[in-house]
Amino acid sequence: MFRTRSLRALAALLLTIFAVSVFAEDDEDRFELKFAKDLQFRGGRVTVDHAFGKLVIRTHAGSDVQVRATIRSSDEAIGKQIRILTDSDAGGVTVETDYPEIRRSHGHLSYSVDMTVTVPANAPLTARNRFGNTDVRGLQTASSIENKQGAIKFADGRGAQSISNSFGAVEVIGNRGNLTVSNANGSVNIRDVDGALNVSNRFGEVDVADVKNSATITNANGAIEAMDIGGSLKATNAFGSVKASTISGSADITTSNARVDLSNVNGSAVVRNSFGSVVATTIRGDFTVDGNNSKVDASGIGGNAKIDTGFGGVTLREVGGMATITSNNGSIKVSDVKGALDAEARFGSVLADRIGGAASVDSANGSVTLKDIGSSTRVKATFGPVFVDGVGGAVTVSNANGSVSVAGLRGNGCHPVSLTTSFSSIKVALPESVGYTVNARTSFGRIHTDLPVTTTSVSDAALTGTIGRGGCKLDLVNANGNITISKE
Amino acid sequence: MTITCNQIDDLLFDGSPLAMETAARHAAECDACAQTLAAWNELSDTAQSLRTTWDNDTLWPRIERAIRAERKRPMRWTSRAAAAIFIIAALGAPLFYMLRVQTREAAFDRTIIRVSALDEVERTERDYTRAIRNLEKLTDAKLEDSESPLMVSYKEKLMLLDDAIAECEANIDHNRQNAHLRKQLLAMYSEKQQTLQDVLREDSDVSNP
Repeated sequence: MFRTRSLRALAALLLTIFAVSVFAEDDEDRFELKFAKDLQFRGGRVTVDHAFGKLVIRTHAGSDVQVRATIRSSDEAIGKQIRILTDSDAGGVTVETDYPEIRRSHGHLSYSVDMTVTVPANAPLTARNRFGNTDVRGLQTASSIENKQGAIKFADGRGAQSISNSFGAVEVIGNRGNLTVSNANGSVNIRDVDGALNVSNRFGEVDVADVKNSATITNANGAIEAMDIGGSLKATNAFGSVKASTISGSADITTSNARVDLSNVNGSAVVRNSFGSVVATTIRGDFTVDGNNSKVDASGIGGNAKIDTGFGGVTLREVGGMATITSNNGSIKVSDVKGALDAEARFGSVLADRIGGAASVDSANGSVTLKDIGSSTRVKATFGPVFVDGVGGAVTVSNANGSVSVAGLRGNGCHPVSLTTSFSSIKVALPESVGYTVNARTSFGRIHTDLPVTTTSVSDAALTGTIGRGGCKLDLVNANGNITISKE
Repeated sequence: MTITCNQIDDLLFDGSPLAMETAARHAAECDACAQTLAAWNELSDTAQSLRTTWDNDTLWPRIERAIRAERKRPMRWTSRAAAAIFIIAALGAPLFYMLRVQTREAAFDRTIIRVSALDEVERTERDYTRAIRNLEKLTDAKLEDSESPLMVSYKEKLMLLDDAIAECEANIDHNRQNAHLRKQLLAMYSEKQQTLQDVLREDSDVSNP
């Protein structure tokens, strides 16, 4: 009794499964056809022209070209008219997907062909696809891959490869040889290229890493990121940010309206930017920024630094050579420069600290503060105060409407001092050990000195004479302000 | 061991070799017990000779019991394996068939979408085009008036997108359910919407991003 029941249950289960599997069949009219063909490759080139479906390219050690495809259509009649045309001769092998002309529109006729072509590893390939993704792996010789409105994936290649796309992403992982990639509107992601790289894009992001040779990247309106470039890097962008790191050679970056991040460059670096900030760290060679309205923040420059910007501030630290900075409307902050400093600011302040060489500053409407300058100091200012503290050379300050204050003249040698202003005060602190020949005059102010002056001529508006034994020039010229000489 | 004649019967009933040997030793010295032993041996011999033909009433029930026990014994492993293979094949074949059909259908769906899903796709496309039209109303003047390089770049991108959208739509006209074309069109609509939003956000102020 029990055995009979079990058998009945088993039979029912089998029937159910069978019924479900039968009803799992599609409820629509669907046509599917498999295509397979092997073609002898006798040299030349393999050319694949495909559309409306996925194209997969693989390689093998054999000498034939294997074509496998799945033709699908929502209509059997259309599906049967789709053909895979193949040809093989001494010139190579061609594979082409041929679709029938469909006159009806807005109907429910649809079709697609997914194709896999396996080619001899050393056969040069030209593969074109439209409206489908393309996936290529293992090509061992120079080839060309082209796609339109579909993504491209390329991996494990060898030889000079050319990949172009429009309206689809491009991803390359591994090529032992030069690589050229062009895209119009899609992201480009490249890793591990053992050769030179040339990438051009219009409106998509470009992300590049691990390139053994030089890399040239051109984009219009998309971010660029480049890391671990074995040679030099040239990145040109119009409106996208650029981030570059660990460049063995030099770096040449151009963009506008976007941020530039640059770090760890072994050679020199040149950055052209406008309306975007520039941040740079550890540039072992010279560093040049032409930043129209860019804020610049740089540190660890091995060579000379030359920065020219319009409306952004400049912060510069640890420069091995000399620093030349121009900022129209932004402040300048510089510290730890081994060489000389040449700074020009129109409407921003200048603050320089620990400059090994001479300092030359031109400022129109901002304050100037210089501390610990190794050599001579020259400042030309118009409306801002000038403070100089700690100088190893001559001091020349020419101001118009701002005060001038000089102190910390180092050493026992002669540091000639020439300070001029018109509508503010002049203060200078002198070491007692050095003799000065004083020539001070002001029109509407007083002259006060803490150091004894042997005068040769004195009046309410002028004082000439010597401090100590004299000899070192001290010229203090004012028009409408006091002059104070104090003891250091 | 020394015994008495009273004990001879007990030894014979015992029947063990030691008991029989003791009884024989005593019978050698006692005539009466020797006769008893001889009679016992004769009886035993007769019983031995009758064993094979003895008709026993309990024999058949014993045989039946043995057969039932045999039936209850577990199946042999070969039988089990055969049964398992049969069940697996019976269950697995339809399952495999069903799975294969479903995989094939899923692959088909990935390339050619179903009519039922097409409505959803086209609704999404209509939403996009509506949003894009609204955005274009807001950005048109800005794009027309401005000749800044950034706006020129946006214009170029929008033109490029429009061309690609038109090409994609022309192909969709003849290949409506092609999943790649539909995905591509949606991606480009999305990109265009994003670009127009970027244009809208863009102002003339100078910024330091």
